[in-house]
Amino acid sequence: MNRIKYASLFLAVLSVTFSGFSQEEKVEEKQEGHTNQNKFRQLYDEFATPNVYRTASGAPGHQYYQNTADYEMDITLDDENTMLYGKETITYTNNSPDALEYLWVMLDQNIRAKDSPAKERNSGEFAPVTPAPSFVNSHMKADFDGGFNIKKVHKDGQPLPHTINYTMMRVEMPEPLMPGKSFEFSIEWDYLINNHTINSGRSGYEYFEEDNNRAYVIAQFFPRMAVYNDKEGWQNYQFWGSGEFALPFGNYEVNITVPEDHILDGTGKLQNRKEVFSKTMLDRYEQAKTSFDKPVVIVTEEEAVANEKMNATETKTWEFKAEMVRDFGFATSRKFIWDMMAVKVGDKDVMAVSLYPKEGNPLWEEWSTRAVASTLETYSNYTFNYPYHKAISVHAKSQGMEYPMICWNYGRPDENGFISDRTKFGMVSVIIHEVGHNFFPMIVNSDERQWGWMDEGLNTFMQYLSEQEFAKTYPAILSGNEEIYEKYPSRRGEPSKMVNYMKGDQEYISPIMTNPEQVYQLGNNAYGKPATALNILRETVMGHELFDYSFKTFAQRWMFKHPTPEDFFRTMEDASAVDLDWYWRGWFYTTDYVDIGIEDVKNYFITSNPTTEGKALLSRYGIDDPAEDPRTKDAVYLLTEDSEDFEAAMKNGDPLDQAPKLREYLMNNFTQQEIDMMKQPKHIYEVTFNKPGGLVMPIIVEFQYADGTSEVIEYPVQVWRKNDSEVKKAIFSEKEIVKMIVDPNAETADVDTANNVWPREDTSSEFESFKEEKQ
Amino acid sequence: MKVLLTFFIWFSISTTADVHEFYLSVTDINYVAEKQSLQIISRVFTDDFEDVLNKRYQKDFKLIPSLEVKETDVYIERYIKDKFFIESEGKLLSLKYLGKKYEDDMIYLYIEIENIDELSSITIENLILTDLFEEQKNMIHFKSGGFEKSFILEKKLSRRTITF
Repeated sequence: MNRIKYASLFLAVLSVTFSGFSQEEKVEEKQEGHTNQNKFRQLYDEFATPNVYRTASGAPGHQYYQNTADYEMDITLDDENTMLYGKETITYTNNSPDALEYLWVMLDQNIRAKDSPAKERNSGEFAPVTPAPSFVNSHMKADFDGGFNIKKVHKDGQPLPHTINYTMMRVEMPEPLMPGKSFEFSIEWDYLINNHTINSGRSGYEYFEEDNNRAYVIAQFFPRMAVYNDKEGWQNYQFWGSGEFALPFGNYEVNITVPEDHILDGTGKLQNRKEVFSKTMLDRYEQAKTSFDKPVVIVTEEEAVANEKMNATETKTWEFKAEMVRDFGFATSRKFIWDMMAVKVGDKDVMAVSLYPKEGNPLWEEWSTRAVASTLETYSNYTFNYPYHKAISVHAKSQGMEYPMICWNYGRPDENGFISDRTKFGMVSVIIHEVGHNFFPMIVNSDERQWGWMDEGLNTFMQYLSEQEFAKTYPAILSGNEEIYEKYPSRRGEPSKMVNYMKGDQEYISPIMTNPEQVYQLGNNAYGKPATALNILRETVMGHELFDYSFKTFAQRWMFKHPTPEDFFRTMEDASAVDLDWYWRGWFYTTDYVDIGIEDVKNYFITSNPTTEGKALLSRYGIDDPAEDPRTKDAVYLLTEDSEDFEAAMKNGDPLDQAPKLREYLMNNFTQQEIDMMKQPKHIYEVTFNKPGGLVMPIIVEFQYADGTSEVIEYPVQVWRKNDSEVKKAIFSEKEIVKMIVDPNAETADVDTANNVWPREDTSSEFESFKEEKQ
Repeated sequence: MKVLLTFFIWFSISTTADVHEFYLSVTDINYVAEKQSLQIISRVFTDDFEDVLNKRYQKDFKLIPSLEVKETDVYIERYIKDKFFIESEGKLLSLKYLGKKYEDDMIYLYIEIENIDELSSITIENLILTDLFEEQKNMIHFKSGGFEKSFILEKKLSRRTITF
């Protein structure tokens, strides 16, 4: 054994000295120094320093705090004039260690005010020709006169000084709000509701000319408290339209008065069901509570059509209470059909609910409530049990927007009643997505105003898992008009779907860690890329077990709290022992992409006869007769087929026949049993992998052997830590390798696969295969 | 409604979910010297493409395989030839529309220009969907041997010449 140690030491010294020697030859000019740019360096410069509020492990710190805002509201809808009136009393509790001199209240409706600067936030110009409708709408039409009319801000009748700065209102209190104290004040307001199908927006109404009715989906409808926290102070970054919301948790008591013939549902527990439900509705509701396999209709299509013809002058008040929610939304209309079914989450029954006008049928009665139920189950499995008592999906044209317990979703048959696969899958996907938002950010309450990707990216990733799961629970969804799908056709999540974005024009790409107002392509940036990055993390980098445990840990640590990106990044490492700084840095902080290929493959043979190259190397160390020199007399020489010392015999038979000294060495030092256990040097390859792409990733290679078998080997990402452009691998193989393929299952979003195969082949391009197929 | 929606979309993106809130097409243009062929795959959103064909030609096409009528391809070809141009050395090259493929919510258009024995500079003009959406952006990935260039064309800047 000693001799082996000695020999390997000798060779190690030799090769180190040798490579040092060659470097000396190259380096002539003095090089400049540099800071650490290694892609594996830790993210100390990017991450905030851990503190008592947020720990280095990614968990809330021992002095973590969050403030709360409780609301009591009386809301009245004037359907005829499309006006919403509200009186609210806010109780704001300061759990921070800081005295607050003033409060900030968000007035998101002001983005729709006539003088809203958001309307002028983009550049605009005239085209030489413009279609008339677009010309009129773009330049001639009077602006919509929306935005809050704040009528009163007071405490027990005493006016409070307040200043409105666009979408933010500063309210001054008689004295600073001390830690641990609450402040109660009231606001009276109204605003003109927008038609969201014309004036856009995440809420509003759709008008149905045929029956002269409106379907309202109402949100951001009341002045809402801004978040005060350890990261931002007051989060009073204005609402410009892309960055969504940051809201504190609180308890809500909301009374909503609407025309008597409206059907309404919203965030929270309905308090006066017996007053607002008919006897029939109550009976059906009781049935729905125990129907776990199919929805029970509370208001039928027939009844809804009859309702459409009503025009009640009387009103009805619906009373809701919600605990630990960050917002409130509701939907109301004469047109609504209503169905519900129960779903078991943990040991609790939750109601999956849908509200939709007849225009959504037959699509909605078939799929909506089932999609809600399935989403709650899948998300609960990966995060925590859904804590609320219901989740509602409301059908609204062209909408896809989420609020606690309630969301709006698009997807409608066309005028002739035809439902394309695109419409069907689009509808189910948006429902899964928006219901999923109950988890991120309604419960894992990240700051959307600052980090659009945190809720959208995590949620789109979970949406992908849920869509796949949905098709397993309801395989009927897969039989389409055009084909039978093998699995749910998810638009986002799979690596191949991100390639076109990631290889795109760098001028129009932003790192994921960019504020939503500043990104070029919000869909790819905040939804697609982070979802794909998490999917790759789960499938390829961490594996299901480590990923799922860590992801769940993050969700549970930050359930009903306000996490930051670092809290997520840190938790994923903390719970898995997988160093991921390189992954976060590359995928989330840069616009780099994956491109790994095979540059070269050398096939080596062995011999005991000193080769020309071997001799040349040894002579540098003063070894002139290596065959006799005691230091090298049992050396092994490697050579390729094009070496002048190559002999045809080396290709065939037992390689030890060509290297008798190696055989002697083995027999001198090992038992036959030990030798049998060793890898035989039958096929020796040196593979050079190159990396034109900036991202480091594990190298996944499929080796195909001459005997028809194959195997996939994964080299850890750390192979790139000392050389970011090229690495070599020495491969001992029992079997002859006939082909190597990098990333054989397209799991890394490699943007150029032409360099992934060895020997290089003219793979029939996508274009060529299409052309051949056509002919 | 789409036109209205499009105009307003920039100050308030109404959907935070699955609607492609950005109007973007992606076109790969590869010059394959040994085949003397310029191979083009253009990917556009199917619903937008259906809209533009129907509005422009006053049709009621459905870009859905089972509901497709033969005439559709005639109009697709006509539209491509109205909106997509390749020139080389001052000469407009003649496009051959090979057909299309559906992939998720996108439609892939296959276009070829044959008999190009040499190519050292190319002018690409892409106005696809800019007649429907002012802010349509058309991404181009051009490749010829080892040379690669990516850029975006839009209504106000619809042409670009590259020399390689």
